[in-house]
Amino acid sequence: MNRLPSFKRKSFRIQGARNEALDVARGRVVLVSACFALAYILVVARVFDLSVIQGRLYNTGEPTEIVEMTAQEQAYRGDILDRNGVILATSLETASLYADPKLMIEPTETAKALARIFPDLAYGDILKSLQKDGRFVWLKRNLTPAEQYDVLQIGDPGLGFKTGRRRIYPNGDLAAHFVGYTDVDGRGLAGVERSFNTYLATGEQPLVMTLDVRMQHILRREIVKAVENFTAKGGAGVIMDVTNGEVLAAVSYPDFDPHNLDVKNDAAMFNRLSLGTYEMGSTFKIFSTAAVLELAGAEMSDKYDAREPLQAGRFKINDYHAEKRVLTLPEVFMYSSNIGSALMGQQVGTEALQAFYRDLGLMDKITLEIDEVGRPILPAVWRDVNTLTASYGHGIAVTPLQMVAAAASVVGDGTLVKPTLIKNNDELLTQKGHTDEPVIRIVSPQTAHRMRQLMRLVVTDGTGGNADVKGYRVGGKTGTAEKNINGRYDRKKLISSFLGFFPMEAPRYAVFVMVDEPKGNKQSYGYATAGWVAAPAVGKVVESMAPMVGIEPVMAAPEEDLSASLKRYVKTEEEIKAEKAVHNASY
Amino acid sequence: MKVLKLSALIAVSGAVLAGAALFWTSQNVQQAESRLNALQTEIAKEQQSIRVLRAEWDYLNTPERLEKMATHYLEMVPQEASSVALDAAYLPDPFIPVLPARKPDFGVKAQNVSVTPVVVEPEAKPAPQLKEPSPHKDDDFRSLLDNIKKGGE
Repeated sequence: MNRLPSFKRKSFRIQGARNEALDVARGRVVLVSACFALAYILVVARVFDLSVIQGRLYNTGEPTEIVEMTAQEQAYRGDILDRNGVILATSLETASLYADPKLMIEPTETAKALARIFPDLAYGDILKSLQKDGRFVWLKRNLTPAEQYDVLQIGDPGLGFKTGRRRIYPNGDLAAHFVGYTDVDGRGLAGVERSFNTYLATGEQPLVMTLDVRMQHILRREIVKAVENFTAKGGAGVIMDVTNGEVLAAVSYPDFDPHNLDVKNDAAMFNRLSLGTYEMGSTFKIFSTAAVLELAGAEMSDKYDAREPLQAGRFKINDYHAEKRVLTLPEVFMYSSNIGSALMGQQVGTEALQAFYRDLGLMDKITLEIDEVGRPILPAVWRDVNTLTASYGHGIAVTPLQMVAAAASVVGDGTLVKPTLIKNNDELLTQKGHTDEPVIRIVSPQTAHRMRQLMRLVVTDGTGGNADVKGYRVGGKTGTAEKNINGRYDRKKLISSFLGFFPMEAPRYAVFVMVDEPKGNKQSYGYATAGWVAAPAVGKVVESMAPMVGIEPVMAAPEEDLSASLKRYVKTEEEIKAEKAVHNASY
Repeated sequence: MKVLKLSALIAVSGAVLAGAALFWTSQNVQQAESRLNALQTEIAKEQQSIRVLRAEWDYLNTPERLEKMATHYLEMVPQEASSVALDAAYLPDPFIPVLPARKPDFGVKAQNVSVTPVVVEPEAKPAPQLKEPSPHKDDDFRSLLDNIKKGGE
């Protein structure tokens, strides 16, 4: 009963003058304890706030602090992936081996063991560096995990590792020109590594390219084969989705290993596909023929006199496979007659042809997501003779990629196709200047259909027969151009190319192969022309890739073929003989 | 005095308890922190090795290497247009090859099978079990194919 009232005033009550002093003291005690109580209440309130209120409100399951802590470490440079998520470039932590000769216990034994692990290091060299005076000497950079494990097994305290980030390209040289490479500090120096350097440096998201390593391999394999078979200087090629301009494979050969750069090797480092400009030759007849059908209202039955070479100023335009007769429009295209095409250019007119080429994007640098893009080389002054030569692809040099995109615009649905290498979200594309542009119509659907028929005819009956693949309805156009060396065209130095599309009724993929300076061999009967060099390569590519992309083969009878309706404009050999006989008789 | 001692006792024991609780909490926090650190290092290590393994996977799966391996180790060739059957009617019946694997003289039986109407018997035997592959599997299979051809003619 006594305990409770222990602090009551009654128990402290003292009478007299001391009472006041005690009252003051009591007041102070109350004040101080009130202060402490307040402080405790504040602490409790804060604890309640932190643990209950904030804990409920902000605890959404994400460990926010951990993210901060890991973000403090330097982020990895972003990966570059192909369209299926296969790694084209990634950054890995690699260990480099160094030695501290002072701490070395058994230099000779260690050197022996190291020489076993690294066959490329000589025992003597290792021993020499292990017996140096200093306290630090590099032994080997960028070890593989297996090698590192083996070195750890030696267990010498004088060996140590330093780790660093290194850019790794698991697919090696496969798409080296377009993926690009970085310097030792991880700054992009070429390809998308360079053009998307800031994006990759943040490392938040991988960069997804439109390339497909399988297609890339198929295309590269066939180009390498063609270049080796015909002992050529190099080659280039592209596989493009005609419907949206996505580049599935892009090859420039010879290429390089991004891990071991040889920057002085210009031939290997040079991007022939998007940076190099070439006079493409007869593949340009696709554009002049489309122009004459679209702008000059030409019909399939129109005739072009290819009996005599065409005199244009001081030039003489000749046919490579001279037929020396009057040709119909489909015949001009399938026999690839320069004279006929020049006449078509004349029919269209200089201004109209220039405007048409400009619309196709052949006169300007194209927009592409890499910096290695070449500017077309045009005549300084465009005279009428340039119209004639430009009709069959001379006197105007463009990048191969640019030409493939332009041709896709003509044979696809007739709207402009813009090549693209990046498959990421639209934000990224708008950053690089690819905005949502309106659909630009280049040719009418009817002209596009006629072009498809003509290109199919080239493969069924014309110069591109070697590109045919049973069941997959390949169409295309050959192009054999003489190289212009110091202002003179060299008959021996050719650029042989074939631009194919399939399946031809509704083209989905464009396949282009170009071989630089091929030399004829036995299988090609000495020919180095496009029909023998590039067309078979395109055929092989189509044969390999078509089952992969799921194109259904169709075994149609010849009379159901797309080009069948054009056959009546093409004279058979007997008809040609008969005509020649009449011609000879009349003179 | 006695009363005062009691209150002091309560206060002191309260302080001791609070101190003990504080110590316990701080120990817990320290332990949790070191565990967190350990886990984070482990996660970083795992992520590191995932990166390495992913890169290695794609390195080992480069089309060029796969192609080499496939031509070397597999008896397969790339698909051709002519090997694609567009009509399911042309496909062979997937069940026929299973039956003759047990009875080599297939030709006669097959005709019987095709003539006899299929009757679903409730007490039918359980599904036929496949035999262990014999060492001469290839030969069996080829002779089987031959038999089918002969039987069809």
